[in-house]
Amino acid sequence: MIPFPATHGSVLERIRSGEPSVRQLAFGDLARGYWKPSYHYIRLHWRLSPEAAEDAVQAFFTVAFEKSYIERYDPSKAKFRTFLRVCLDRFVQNLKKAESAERRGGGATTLSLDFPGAERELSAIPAAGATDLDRFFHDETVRFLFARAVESLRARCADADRDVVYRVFEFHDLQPGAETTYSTVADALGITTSQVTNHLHAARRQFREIALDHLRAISATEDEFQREARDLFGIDLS
Amino acid sequence: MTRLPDDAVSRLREAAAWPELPPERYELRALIGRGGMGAVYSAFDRRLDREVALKVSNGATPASGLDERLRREASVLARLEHPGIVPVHDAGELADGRWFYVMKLVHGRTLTDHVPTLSGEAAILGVFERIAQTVAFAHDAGVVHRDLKPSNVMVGRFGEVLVLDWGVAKVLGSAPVMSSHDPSSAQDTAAGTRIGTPGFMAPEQERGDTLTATPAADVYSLGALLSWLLTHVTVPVQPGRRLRAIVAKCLQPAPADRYPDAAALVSDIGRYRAGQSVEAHKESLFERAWRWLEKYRTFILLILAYLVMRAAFAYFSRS
Amino acid sequence: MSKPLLGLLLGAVLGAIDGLSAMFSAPETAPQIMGIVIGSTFKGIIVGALIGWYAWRVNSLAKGMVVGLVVAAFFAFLIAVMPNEQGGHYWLEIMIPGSIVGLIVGYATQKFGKARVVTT
Repeated sequence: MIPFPATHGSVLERIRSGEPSVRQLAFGDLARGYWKPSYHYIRLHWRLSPEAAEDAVQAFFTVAFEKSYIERYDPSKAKFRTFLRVCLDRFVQNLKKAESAERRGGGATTLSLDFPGAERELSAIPAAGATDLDRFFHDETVRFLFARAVESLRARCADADRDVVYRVFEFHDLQPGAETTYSTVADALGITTSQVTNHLHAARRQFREIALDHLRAISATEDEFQREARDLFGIDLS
Repeated sequence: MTRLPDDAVSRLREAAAWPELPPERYELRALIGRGGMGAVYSAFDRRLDREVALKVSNGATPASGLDERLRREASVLARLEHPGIVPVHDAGELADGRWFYVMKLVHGRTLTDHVPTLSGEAAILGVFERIAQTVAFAHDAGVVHRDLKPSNVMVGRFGEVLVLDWGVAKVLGSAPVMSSHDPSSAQDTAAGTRIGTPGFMAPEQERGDTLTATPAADVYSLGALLSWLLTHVTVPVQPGRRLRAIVAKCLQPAPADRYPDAAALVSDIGRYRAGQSVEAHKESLFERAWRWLEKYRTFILLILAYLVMRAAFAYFSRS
Repeated sequence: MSKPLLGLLLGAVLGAIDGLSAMFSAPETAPQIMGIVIGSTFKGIIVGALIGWYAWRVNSLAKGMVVGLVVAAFFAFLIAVMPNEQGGHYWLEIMIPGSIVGLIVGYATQKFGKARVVTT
């Protein structure tokens, strides 16, 4: 599992900080949060092959780090995701013109990313899914954020020897059937209904905390983070 | 890591915001709506065997101040026991610290959706009078609503009219404005916070002058509401001079020139509906006589018809 | 003013007018005009009180006017059925105006006057 660093402050603040290590970690967070949506976006919108898309994604984050793309972001002009997507578009456009991938530079964190897994997910995306580019990129980012939060929750529960908490969450919220109730979950897991209630509440609370943490790590500014939090969960963090 | 389908993403969003209630008492059913301060859910009260509505604060942390505002809203509603105000049954704190309160679940539609079914001045004034009576009750209890508008009025299945959303209501003569324990009052004092809705809020509210919130601000909103009703029915109503004067008095820029509170407005509306003279308009002798004729028009016409018939009988008998 | 009282007073006034109008519609009755006016007024009082009492009990404009019409027509019939000195009858001159008076009193007592207060 990719180790998840502690985050303090927004992505923009950390990238703009004078500390190289902080900057590097911030870029790592950014890449972790956006690599899959970027890959899906490039594959569907730019129609690059899986190999070319993989190279493009790796190269984009590397070059963005080296050439300080992110530092140029102006919150008053557009949302950060839109800015990122436009940078990605320009990058791929230039790539196509040059017809060669940018060489990966030194000093950047090379992340081990599951591109084959991302490629397999593409079959689940409707062919017309990228008609509203902004919407598509947003939805993929949220989807990936949630998936990472679910994965983190699973790992956290496993580490604390509380697998049953995750299993209740998985049964009830992730993959419910038409007749799923607290009773059916209790029967399936061999626990009481009140235990189902307690575990579910605990899992949801932790899921929310983890998801907000992930969201903060990829939000350019505090304002954006609060807007996104409200949009995702309807909660006000101001 | 598997791809989450769309329905899973939706469920996770709702699940993450789902309030953790005491399960032995309340069974949450569905999300009804979400506003700036909180979300409203339908629920079932197992102890009293009835449907209820639950409002939960949006605040993720106590520092957001939203919990305190919700607590105040519940407190204001609890002290206002009136048929036009949704009763509060219970209040408390969730396991994650968010505040909630439980109230009657109202089945109906907002005034915005109800107004196309209204026809004629009498129907409009019937609904409006009940809204104003509710607000008058609140004023008498020392509470100013501050956000009266069509979407904050609900008409129930049986025609009952309810004034909703007392979240920004001001209790007159309550804790000092500069109290550090009242985040909403701290917000009020913060650089002229505007409370209300454009088109329905009084000029002093537009200016952010919330320190001097008085019942006259609600009177302005009521006047705007009445004006809106008269123009948004299917066939707009052309109000007569006296009703126009009532609306104009409500919409005076200076609070001192309006009705002092909703009770005074209710009285004038009552007088208008009874065909009597209204405080908002000083009638000339001719206008008074005409109003008297209008009020007893049918009766006068019947008497005249009788006299004409009598005269006709006399004429034909002689000839 | 209560509805029965309103009906009574209105019936009296309209009954008196009704009686006086006989001077114009049936001039030959001039010598008996005082009796006619007193009789007509008295009839109007009874009819008006009955209609007013009905309005006090039943709140319906349509019903009130119909009842007014019927009650007044009945009493007008009782008067019109009495022959004049020539043995004739003033059917139209008595029944039509008399019935209309009932209609007017029925309307007025439904619309105006203090209704009954029902307490439980």
